[in-house]
Amino acid sequence: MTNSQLFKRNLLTSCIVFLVIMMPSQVVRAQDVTPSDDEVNQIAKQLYCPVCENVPLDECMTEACQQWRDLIRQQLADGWTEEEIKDYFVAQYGDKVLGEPPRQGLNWVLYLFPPFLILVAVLLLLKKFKHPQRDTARIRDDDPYLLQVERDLEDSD
Amino acid sequence: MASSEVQDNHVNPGKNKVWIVFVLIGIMAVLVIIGLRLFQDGGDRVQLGQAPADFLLATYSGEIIDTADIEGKVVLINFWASWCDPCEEEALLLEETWQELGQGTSEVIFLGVAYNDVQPGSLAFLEKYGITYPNGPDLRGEISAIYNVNGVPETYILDQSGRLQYIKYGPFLTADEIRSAVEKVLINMGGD
Repeated sequence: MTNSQLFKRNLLTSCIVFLVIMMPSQVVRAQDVTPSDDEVNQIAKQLYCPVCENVPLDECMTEACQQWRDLIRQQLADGWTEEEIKDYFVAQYGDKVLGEPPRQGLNWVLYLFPPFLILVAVLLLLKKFKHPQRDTARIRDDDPYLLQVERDLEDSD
Repeated sequence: MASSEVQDNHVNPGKNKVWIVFVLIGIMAVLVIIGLRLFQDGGDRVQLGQAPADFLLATYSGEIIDTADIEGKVVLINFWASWCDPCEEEALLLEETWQELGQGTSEVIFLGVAYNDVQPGSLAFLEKYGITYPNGPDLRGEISAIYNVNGVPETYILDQSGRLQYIKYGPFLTADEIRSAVEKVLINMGGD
């Protein structure tokens, strides 16, 4: 076998080995194109289908919700980001589809009201601990009623 | 000294609680706002004789239809969805009637509004049932909000002056039912 023949043979072998190595990875890549249920549900759980009120999209079993999940799967396969998908659903169906309302307008009430209530509660507690005697302080030594009670008790003794 | 403080507290017990009253009023105000917002979301259904607001329908064929521009025609607005089983039978009946009534060339125009539907599903539905009258999505739920649609199918027929003259909750069961509904509105218009 000449050097040229040997070179060709080695080249052919190398090509075959390369193809054999690459083939499985191509298959894997082709499978990766279809997003998994977990990937779909990661987005779906942040959305609510208006047809099924109060049921997150990832848990809803209606045909409408199944269509929504299929669309999310398709959008993920097309390379859409999570934000792009959520923006699409908001554009199509409105803010009501979002599990977490956007921080704008009257929605701020939802975000600010609970911390405000907690703050008020904390202030009330602090006030209470700061002046623990306040409730009992209202009993005065010169309260005529109490003085009368004391007198009556003494008399009864 | 201590006795004096005690006396003051007793003499003006409400003074220290004024701010609590203000806070409570604030909380009540916020709750009222939330309640009003919820009330607005679930408004009343549009009533017969009323003129619902106009809307834009961006059809799947790329056309923009402004109901304000539809003059002198009876407008049948059908809310449907591809996931709605009763809508399937009704779609065929609507298309049949649409063909009979001249496909919009007569005094009547049909508009289909896909309610809470996904576009691929809607397009497949329209193709499957051979629907040719204008159809488009209910973007951001703005059209269904005007009519306060609660489910599908629902159909509304407006007269020439844009007043609501006919409401159908649920599917039409025959083409005759659709025809008679449309004719009823046309006759009423003639009577005016």
